[in-house]
Amino acid sequence: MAALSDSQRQDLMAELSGLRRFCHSLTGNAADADDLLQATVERILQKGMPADAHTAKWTYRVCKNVWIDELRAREVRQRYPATETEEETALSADTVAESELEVAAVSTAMAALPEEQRLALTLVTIDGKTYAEAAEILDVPVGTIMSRIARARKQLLQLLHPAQPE
Amino acid sequence: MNDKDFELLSQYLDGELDELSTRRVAQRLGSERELRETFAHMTAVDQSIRQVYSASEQVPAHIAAMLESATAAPPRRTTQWAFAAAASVAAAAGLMLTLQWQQPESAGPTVAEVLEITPSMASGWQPLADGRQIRPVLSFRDVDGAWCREYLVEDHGKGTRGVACRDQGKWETRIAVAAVIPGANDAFRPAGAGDSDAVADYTASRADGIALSASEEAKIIASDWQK
Repeated sequence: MAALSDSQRQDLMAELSGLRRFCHSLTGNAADADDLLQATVERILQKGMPADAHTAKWTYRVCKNVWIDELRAREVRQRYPATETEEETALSADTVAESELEVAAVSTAMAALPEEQRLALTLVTIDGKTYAEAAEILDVPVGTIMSRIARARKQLLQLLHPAQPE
Repeated sequence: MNDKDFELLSQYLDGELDELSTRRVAQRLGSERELRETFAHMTAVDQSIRQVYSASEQVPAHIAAMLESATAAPPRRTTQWAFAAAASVAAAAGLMLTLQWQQPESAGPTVAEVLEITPSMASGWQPLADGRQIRPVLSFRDVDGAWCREYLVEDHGKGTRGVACRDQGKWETRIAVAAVIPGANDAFRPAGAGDSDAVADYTASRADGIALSASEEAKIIASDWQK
Protein backbone atom coordinates (compact mmCIF):
# COMPACT_ATOMS: atom_id res chain seq x y z
CA MET A 1 0.00 0.00 0.00
CA ALA A 2 1.30 3.41 -0.94
CA ALA A 3 0.94 5.35 2.25
CA LEU A 4 -0.28 8.92 2.20
CA SER A 5 1.89 11.52 3.87
CA ASP A 6 0.53 13.26 6.95
CA SER A 7 -0.08 16.46 5.02
CA GLN A 8 -1.90 14.54 2.29
CA ARG A 9 -4.12 12.91 4.90
CA GLN A 10 -4.80 16.28 6.44
CA ASP A 11 -5.64 17.80 3.05
CA LEU A 12 -7.91 14.89 2.29
CA MET A 13 -9.67 15.26 5.65
CA ALA A 14 -10.32 18.89 4.81
CA GLU A 15 -11.95 17.87 1.53
CA LEU A 16 -14.26 15.23 3.00
CA SER A 17 -17.30 17.44 3.67
CA GLY A 18 -17.26 18.90 0.19
CA LEU A 19 -16.60 15.48 -1.24
CA ARG A 20 -19.57 14.02 0.63
CA ARG A 21 -21.78 16.71 -0.92
CA PHE A 22 -20.34 15.94 -4.33
CA CYS A 23 -21.06 12.23 -3.77
CA HIS A 24 -24.66 13.01 -2.81
CA SER A 25 -25.26 15.05 -5.91
CA LEU A 26 -23.81 12.25 -8.04
CA THR A 27 -25.70 9.38 -6.46
CA GLY A 28 -28.95 11.12 -5.60
CA ASN A 29 -29.30 9.54 -2.17
CA ALA A 30 -27.49 9.51 1.14
CA ALA A 31 -26.74 5.80 1.43
CA ASP A 32 -25.08 5.56 -1.98
CA ALA A 33 -23.25 8.81 -1.26
CA ASP A 34 -21.65 7.26 1.84
CA ASP A 35 -20.69 4.15 -0.14
CA LEU A 36 -19.15 6.27 -2.89
CA LEU A 37 -17.28 8.41 -0.38
CA GLN A 38 -15.92 5.35 1.36
CA ALA A 39 -14.90 3.72 -1.92
CA THR A 40 -13.13 6.92 -2.94
CA VAL A 41 -11.19 7.17 0.32
CA GLU A 42 -10.33 3.46 0.15
CA ARG A 43 -9.03 3.78 -3.39
CA ILE A 44 -6.85 6.76 -2.49
CA LEU A 45 -5.51 4.97 0.59
CA GLN A 46 -4.76 1.87 -1.47
CA LYS A 47 -3.21 3.53 -4.49
CA GLY A 48 -1.74 6.61 -2.84
CA MET A 49 -1.37 10.01 -4.37
CA PRO A 50 1.64 11.48 -6.21
CA ALA A 51 3.60 13.80 -3.94
CA ASP A 52 3.05 16.73 -6.28
CA ALA A 53 -0.67 16.11 -6.82
CA HIS A 54 -3.19 18.79 -5.89
CA THR A 55 -5.17 16.94 -3.25
CA ALA A 56 -8.59 18.44 -4.03
CA LYS A 57 -8.35 17.93 -7.77
CA TRP A 58 -6.90 14.47 -7.39
CA THR A 59 -9.59 13.44 -4.92
CA TYR A 60 -12.53 14.67 -6.98
CA ARG A 61 -11.09 12.99 -10.02
CA VAL A 62 -10.76 9.68 -8.19
CA CYS A 63 -14.31 10.10 -6.89
CA LYS A 64 -15.61 10.75 -10.39
CA ASN A 65 -13.77 7.68 -11.69
CA VAL A 66 -15.09 5.47 -8.89
CA TRP A 67 -18.59 6.65 -9.67
CA ILE A 68 -18.20 6.05 -13.41
CA ASP A 69 -16.93 2.53 -12.61
CA GLU A 70 -19.97 2.01 -10.42
CA LEU A 71 -22.29 3.23 -13.16
CA ARG A 72 -20.68 0.89 -15.64
CA ALA A 73 -21.06 -1.92 -13.16
CA ARG A 74 -24.73 -1.15 -12.94
CA GLU A 75 -24.97 -1.01 -16.72
CA VAL A 76 -26.44 2.43 -16.59
CA ARG A 77 -25.36 4.31 -19.66
CA GLN A 78 -26.87 7.77 -19.57
CA ARG A 79 -27.91 8.60 -16.07
CA TYR A 80 -28.64 7.23 -12.69
CA PRO A 81 -32.38 7.10 -12.00
CA ALA A 82 -33.56 8.86 -8.87
CA THR A 83 -33.89 6.44 -6.00
CA GLU A 84 -36.53 7.09 -3.39
CA THR A 85 -35.24 6.73 0.12
CA GLU A 86 -37.33 5.12 2.82
CA GLU A 87 -38.00 8.47 4.48
CA GLU A 88 -39.28 9.92 1.24
CA THR A 89 -41.69 7.09 0.57
CA ALA A 90 -42.88 7.21 4.17
CA LEU A 91 -44.10 10.79 3.82
CA SER A 92 -47.74 11.14 2.87
CA ALA A 93 -48.59 13.87 0.41
CA ASP A 94 -50.39 16.13 2.87
CA THR A 95 -47.58 16.10 5.43
CA VAL A 96 -44.96 17.22 2.95
CA ALA A 97 -44.15 20.88 3.54
CA GLU A 98 -43.46 23.20 0.68
CA SER A 99 -39.75 23.26 1.38
CA GLU A 100 -39.63 19.47 1.30
CA LEU A 101 -41.46 19.49 -2.01
CA GLU A 102 -38.86 21.91 -3.29
CA VAL A 103 -36.04 19.68 -2.07
CA ALA A 104 -37.68 16.71 -3.75
CA ALA A 105 -38.21 18.68 -6.96
CA VAL A 106 -34.60 19.84 -7.04
CA SER A 107 -33.29 16.34 -6.34
CA THR A 108 -35.48 14.85 -9.07
CA ALA A 109 -34.47 17.54 -11.54
CA MET A 110 -30.78 17.02 -10.75
CA ALA A 111 -31.16 13.25 -11.13
CA ALA A 112 -32.72 13.76 -14.55
CA LEU A 113 -29.66 15.59 -15.88
CA PRO A 114 -27.25 13.68 -18.11
CA GLU A 115 -24.34 12.46 -15.98
CA GLU A 116 -21.73 14.64 -17.69
CA GLN A 117 -23.81 17.78 -17.09
CA ARG A 118 -24.51 16.92 -13.47
CA LEU A 119 -20.81 16.38 -12.79
CA ALA A 120 -19.88 19.75 -14.25
CA LEU A 121 -22.71 21.64 -12.54
CA THR A 122 -22.01 20.00 -9.20
CA LEU A 123 -18.33 20.89 -9.24
CA VAL A 124 -19.00 24.53 -10.10
CA THR A 125 -22.30 25.35 -8.40
CA ILE A 126 -22.15 23.19 -5.30
CA ASP A 127 -18.41 22.89 -4.74
CA GLY A 128 -17.36 26.31 -5.99
CA LYS A 129 -14.73 25.11 -8.46
CA THR A 130 -13.78 27.37 -11.34
CA TYR A 131 -14.45 26.19 -14.89
CA ALA A 132 -10.70 25.57 -15.24
CA GLU A 133 -10.61 23.40 -12.11
CA ALA A 134 -13.71 21.47 -13.19
CA ALA A 135 -12.15 20.98 -16.63
CA GLU A 136 -9.03 19.54 -15.02
CA ILE A 137 -11.00 17.19 -12.77
CA LEU A 138 -13.25 15.97 -15.59
CA ASP A 139 -10.44 15.99 -18.15
CA VAL A 140 -12.32 17.99 -20.78
CA PRO A 141 -11.75 21.46 -22.31
CA VAL A 142 -12.98 24.52 -20.39
CA GLY A 143 -15.43 25.32 -23.21
CA THR A 144 -17.04 21.93 -22.69
CA ILE A 145 -17.55 22.68 -19.01
CA MET A 146 -19.14 26.00 -19.93
CA SER A 147 -21.63 24.48 -22.35
CA ARG A 148 -22.44 21.52 -20.09
CA ILE A 149 -23.25 23.85 -17.20
CA ALA A 150 -25.40 26.11 -19.38
CA ARG A 151 -27.32 23.11 -20.76
CA ALA A 152 -27.77 21.72 -17.25
CA ARG A 153 -29.11 25.03 -15.97
CA LYS A 154 -31.45 25.35 -18.93
CA GLN A 155 -32.94 21.94 -18.25
CA LEU A 156 -33.25 22.67 -14.51
CA LEU A 157 -35.04 25.95 -15.22
CA GLN A 158 -37.43 24.23 -17.58
CA LEU A 159 -38.23 21.65 -14.92
CA LEU A 160 -38.35 23.95 -11.89
CA HIS A 161 -39.61 27.19 -13.46
CA PRO A 162 -41.59 25.93 -16.48
CA ALA A 163 -42.44 29.45 -17.68
CA GLN A 164 -38.71 30.08 -18.15
CA PRO A 165 -37.12 29.98 -20.84
CA GLU A 166 -38.69 28.47 -23.95
CA MET B 1 -33.95 33.34 -25.21
CA ASN B 2 -31.30 31.86 -27.49
CA ASP B 3 -28.65 29.42 -26.34
CA LYS B 4 -25.87 31.95 -26.75
CA ASP B 5 -27.51 34.40 -24.32
CA PHE B 6 -28.26 31.59 -21.92
CA GLU B 7 -24.61 30.53 -21.96
CA LEU B 8 -23.56 34.14 -21.36
CA LEU B 9 -25.85 34.44 -18.32
CA SER B 10 -24.57 31.13 -16.99
CA GLN B 11 -20.94 32.23 -17.31
CA TYR B 12 -21.83 35.60 -15.81
CA LEU B 13 -23.41 33.93 -12.79
CA ASP B 14 -20.25 31.86 -12.31
CA GLY B 15 -17.97 34.89 -12.66
CA GLU B 16 -16.30 33.28 -15.67
CA LEU B 17 -16.61 36.13 -18.19
CA ASP B 18 -13.81 38.57 -18.91
CA GLU B 19 -14.23 42.15 -17.75
CA LEU B 20 -15.56 43.51 -21.02
CA SER B 21 -18.12 40.73 -21.47
CA THR B 22 -19.17 41.08 -17.83
CA ARG B 23 -19.87 44.76 -18.38
CA ARG B 24 -21.83 44.05 -21.53
CA VAL B 25 -24.01 41.45 -19.80
CA ALA B 26 -24.48 43.76 -16.80
CA GLN B 27 -25.58 46.55 -19.12
CA ARG B 28 -28.05 44.28 -20.89
CA LEU B 29 -29.41 43.03 -17.55
CA GLY B 30 -30.19 46.63 -16.74
CA SER B 31 -32.21 47.13 -19.91
CA GLU B 32 -33.58 43.72 -20.95
CA ARG B 33 -36.40 42.41 -18.80
CA GLU B 34 -36.41 38.83 -20.14
CA LEU B 35 -32.69 38.52 -19.52
CA ARG B 36 -33.14 39.86 -15.98
CA GLU B 37 -35.99 37.46 -15.22
CA THR B 38 -34.06 34.47 -16.51
CA PHE B 39 -31.05 35.53 -14.46
CA ALA B 40 -33.17 35.79 -11.31
CA HIS B 41 -34.59 32.30 -11.89
CA MET B 42 -31.14 30.94 -12.66
CA THR B 43 -29.80 32.40 -9.43
CA ALA B 44 -32.73 31.00 -7.46
CA VAL B 45 -32.21 27.51 -8.91
CA ASP B 46 -28.52 27.67 -7.97
CA GLN B 47 -29.47 28.63 -4.42
CA SER B 48 -31.95 25.75 -4.22
CA ILE B 49 -29.35 23.27 -5.40
CA ARG B 50 -26.86 24.50 -2.84
CA GLN B 51 -29.42 24.33 -0.07
CA VAL B 52 -30.39 20.78 -0.99
CA TYR B 53 -26.82 19.49 -1.12
CA SER B 54 -25.18 21.61 1.54
CA ALA B 55 -27.14 19.61 4.10
CA SER B 56 -25.41 16.47 2.87
CA GLU B 57 -21.84 17.21 3.83
CA GLN B 58 -21.94 15.26 7.08
CA VAL B 59 -19.11 12.74 6.83
CA PRO B 60 -19.81 9.39 8.50
CA ALA B 61 -17.46 8.87 11.43
CA HIS B 62 -16.16 5.54 10.15
CA ILE B 63 -14.99 7.16 6.90
CA ALA B 64 -13.30 10.06 8.67
CA ALA B 65 -11.68 7.50 10.99
CA MET B 66 -10.00 5.88 7.97
CA LEU B 67 -7.90 9.02 7.67
CA GLU B 68 -7.60 9.98 11.28
CA SER B 69 -4.84 7.57 12.20
CA ALA B 70 -2.18 10.02 11.15
CA THR B 71 -3.80 13.32 11.82
CA ALA B 72 -5.80 15.09 14.48
CA ALA B 73 -7.35 17.61 12.15
CA PRO B 74 -11.14 17.53 12.31
CA PRO B 75 -13.15 17.78 9.10
CA ARG B 76 -13.92 21.40 8.42
CA ARG B 77 -16.97 22.83 6.87
CA THR B 78 -16.25 23.73 3.26
CA THR B 79 -17.47 27.19 2.55
CA GLN B 80 -15.35 27.82 -0.49
CA TRP B 81 -18.25 27.56 -2.89
CA ALA B 82 -20.32 29.97 -0.89
CA PHE B 83 -17.63 32.60 -1.03
CA ALA B 84 -16.85 31.97 -4.67
CA ALA B 85 -20.48 32.13 -5.68
CA ALA B 86 -21.19 35.11 -3.48
CA ALA B 87 -18.20 36.91 -4.92
CA SER B 88 -19.31 36.29 -8.46
CA VAL B 89 -22.88 37.37 -7.82
CA ALA B 90 -21.76 40.37 -5.83
CA ALA B 91 -19.37 41.38 -8.56
CA ALA B 92 -22.22 41.07 -11.00
CA ALA B 93 -24.54 43.02 -8.72
CA GLY B 94 -21.99 45.75 -8.30
CA LEU B 95 -21.41 46.11 -12.01
CA MET B 96 -25.07 46.00 -12.90
CA LEU B 97 -26.03 48.64 -10.39
CA THR B 98 -23.10 50.90 -11.11
CA LEU B 99 -24.14 50.92 -14.73
CA GLN B 100 -27.76 51.54 -13.89
CA TRP B 101 -27.10 54.20 -11.33
CA GLN B 102 -23.99 55.79 -12.86
CA GLN B 103 -21.62 55.27 -9.98
CA PRO B 104 -18.59 53.94 -11.85
CA GLU B 105 -16.13 54.53 -9.02
CA SER B 106 -17.86 52.07 -6.69
CA ALA B 107 -15.71 48.98 -6.11
CA GLY B 108 -18.60 46.82 -4.88
CA PRO B 109 -22.24 46.99 -3.99
CA THR B 110 -23.84 48.76 -1.06
CA VAL B 111 -26.27 47.05 1.32
CA ALA B 112 -29.18 48.56 -0.61
CA GLU B 113 -27.84 47.35 -3.94
CA VAL B 114 -27.48 43.79 -2.68
CA LEU B 115 -30.95 43.82 -1.13
CA GLU B 116 -32.40 45.04 -4.41
CA ILE B 117 -31.36 42.11 -6.59
CA THR B 118 -29.94 39.26 -4.52
CA PRO B 119 -32.04 36.25 -3.51
CA SER B 120 -32.03 35.24 0.15
CA MET B 121 -29.34 32.76 1.10
CA ALA B 122 -29.15 30.09 3.77
CA SER B 123 -25.38 30.41 3.88
CA GLY B 124 -22.55 32.31 2.24
CA TRP B 125 -21.88 36.02 2.02
CA GLN B 126 -21.74 38.77 -0.55
CA PRO B 127 -18.85 41.19 -0.17
CA LEU B 128 -19.81 44.85 0.18
CA ALA B 129 -17.89 47.82 -1.19
CA ASP B 130 -16.79 48.81 2.31
CA GLY B 131 -15.21 45.44 3.10
CA ARG B 132 -18.09 44.04 5.14
CA GLN B 133 -20.15 41.07 3.99
CA ILE B 134 -23.90 40.70 3.76
CA ARG B 135 -26.35 37.80 3.58
CA PRO B 136 -30.01 38.55 2.77
CA VAL B 137 -31.93 35.94 4.79
CA LEU B 138 -35.59 36.44 3.99
CA SER B 139 -38.11 38.72 2.33
CA PHE B 140 -41.62 39.66 3.40
CA ARG B 141 -44.30 42.24 2.81
CA ASP B 142 -45.04 44.35 5.85
CA VAL B 143 -48.44 45.36 7.14
CA ASP B 144 -48.19 48.68 5.29
CA GLY B 145 -47.59 46.91 1.99
CA ALA B 146 -43.86 47.67 1.74
CA TRP B 147 -41.37 44.96 0.76
CA CYS B 148 -38.90 44.25 3.55
CA ARG B 149 -35.83 42.07 3.87
CA GLU B 150 -34.10 40.70 6.89
CA TYR B 151 -30.34 40.48 6.52
CA LEU B 152 -27.11 39.71 8.34
CA VAL B 153 -23.98 41.83 8.02
CA GLU B 154 -20.58 40.51 9.04
CA ASP B 155 -17.80 42.93 9.90
CA HIS B 156 -14.56 41.30 11.05
CA GLY B 157 -16.40 38.60 13.00
CA LYS B 158 -19.01 40.97 14.43
CA GLY B 159 -22.55 40.47 13.28
CA THR B 160 -25.50 42.77 12.78
CA ARG B 161 -28.99 41.52 12.05
CA GLY B 162 -31.39 44.00 10.56
CA VAL B 163 -34.52 44.62 8.57
CA ALA B 164 -34.67 47.09 5.71
CA CYS B 165 -37.81 48.02 3.83
CA ARG B 166 -38.20 49.41 0.33
CA ASP B 167 -39.78 52.84 0.25
CA GLN B 168 -40.13 54.64 -3.08
CA GLY B 169 -37.27 52.68 -4.61
CA LYS B 170 -34.90 53.09 -1.65
CA TRP B 171 -34.02 50.53 1.01
CA GLU B 172 -34.27 52.01 4.50
CA THR B 173 -33.10 50.23 7.62
CA ARG B 174 -35.94 49.85 10.10
CA ILE B 175 -34.08 47.96 12.81
CA ALA B 176 -30.51 46.68 13.25
CA VAL B 177 -29.04 45.01 16.32
CA ALA B 178 -25.80 43.24 17.19
CA ALA B 179 -26.12 39.54 16.47
CA VAL B 180 -24.12 36.36 16.70
CA ILE B 181 -23.08 35.11 13.28
CA PRO B 182 -24.58 31.66 12.83
CA GLY B 183 -21.65 29.26 13.03
CA ALA B 184 -20.79 26.31 10.87
CA ASN B 185 -23.11 24.02 12.77
CA ASP B 186 -26.21 26.16 12.80
CA ALA B 187 -25.90 28.11 9.59
CA PHE B 188 -29.14 26.63 8.31
CA ARG B 189 -31.44 27.35 11.18
CA PRO B 190 -34.38 29.55 10.24
CA ALA B 191 -33.62 33.24 10.14
CA GLY B 192 -34.86 35.03 13.23
CA ALA B 193 -34.66 31.91 15.37
CA GLY B 194 -31.42 32.97 16.96
CA ASP B 195 -30.06 35.59 19.23
CA SER B 196 -31.53 38.65 17.62
CA ASP B 197 -34.86 38.55 19.39
CA ALA B 198 -35.54 42.21 18.71
CA VAL B 199 -35.31 41.64 14.97
CA ALA B 200 -37.36 38.46 15.19
CA ASP B 201 -40.00 40.33 17.18
CA TYR B 202 -39.95 43.17 14.68
CA THR B 203 -40.37 40.81 11.74
CA ALA B 204 -43.11 38.85 13.50
CA SER B 205 -45.04 41.99 14.38
CA ARG B 206 -44.58 43.75 11.03
CA ALA B 207 -44.85 40.90 8.52
CA ASP B 208 -48.12 40.60 6.66
CA GLY B 209 -48.14 36.82 6.37
CA ILE B 210 -45.17 34.49 6.09
CA ALA B 211 -41.82 35.07 4.39
CA LEU B 212 -41.65 34.65 0.63
CA SER B 213 -40.59 31.30 -0.80
CA ALA B 214 -37.49 31.26 -3.01
CA SER B 215 -39.59 31.17 -6.18
CA GLU B 216 -41.92 33.96 -5.01
CA GLU B 217 -38.92 36.05 -4.09
CA ALA B 218 -37.27 35.45 -7.47
CA LYS B 219 -40.42 36.74 -9.20
CA ILE B 220 -40.56 39.85 -7.04
CA ILE B 221 -36.88 40.58 -7.64
CA ALA B 222 -37.35 40.09 -11.38
CA SER B 223 -40.23 42.58 -11.29
CA ASP B 224 -38.06 45.16 -9.49
CA TRP B 225 -40.20 44.80 -6.36
CA GLN B 226 -43.25 46.14 -8.17
CA LYS B 227 -45.75 43.34 -7.50
